[in-house]
Amino acid sequence: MIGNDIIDLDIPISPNWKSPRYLNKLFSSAEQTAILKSEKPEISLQLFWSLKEAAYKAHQRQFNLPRKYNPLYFQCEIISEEKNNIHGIVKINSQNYFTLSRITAANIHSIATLDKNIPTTFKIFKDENVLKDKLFTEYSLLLKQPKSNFRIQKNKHNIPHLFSNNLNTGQVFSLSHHGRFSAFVISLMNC
Amino acid sequence: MTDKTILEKIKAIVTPYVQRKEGLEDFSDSTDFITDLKINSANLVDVILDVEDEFNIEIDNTSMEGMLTAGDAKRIILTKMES
Repeated sequence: MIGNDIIDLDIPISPNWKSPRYLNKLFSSAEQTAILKSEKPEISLQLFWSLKEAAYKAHQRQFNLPRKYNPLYFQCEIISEEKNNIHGIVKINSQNYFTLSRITAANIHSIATLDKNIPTTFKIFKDENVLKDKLFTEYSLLLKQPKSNFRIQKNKHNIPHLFSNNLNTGQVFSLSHHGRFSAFVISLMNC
Repeated sequence: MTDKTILEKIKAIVTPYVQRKEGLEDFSDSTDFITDLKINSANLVDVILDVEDEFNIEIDNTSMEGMLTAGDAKRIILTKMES
């Protein structure tokens, strides 16, 4: 199962971000310590947020869960940072999601997967409106079907599913957009 | 405070965070903060802090979990104001 999250760093973060009231609603004390002690606390805060969002999407899809605003349930930890790849773990109940994040001057993108070894592909676009079309292009190549076969339908929990000729393909993917950017990640397991 | 007043105050609180302004036109109990108003999930906590300040209440994490629509927020505010 997978999820992803993109954050446009041009969009200012909440003016409340340093207040304990704000932080206590989103982050555990361990996470707050990691954020506030880091070199760039504002970037770390957004990185941790993207981990929670990416893991939330993976977890919601895994169990087909109703939507909930429960960021504190998702406990993040950064495991390693090598070059541009930041590896982390997000724990929720007894599940561990493995995360991979990349930070550029313009954005933060995180992917969360339940299985560390699952092959995935992701793409980031500088335009929100092209996302579905680009996803269909990708699936058109992977599933060897014309793009026009595809449509996306969200289920009652707002989880998107890929339909081909009105049949749910069961493909596992995740969409994200924020500000100037949009992104998708696809699991290549069943393609 | 009437239900209508509470709903109007909620509308005023969320307005600065709304990315889909059309969603405000028929603002009601069923208006969904994320799907109808496209409020960024990272800003929902700002909405919650503003609600706490406006109504002088504390929204605990369990209540926060279910705050997805204006009606959810209204019910939580009414319950917290009673206690």
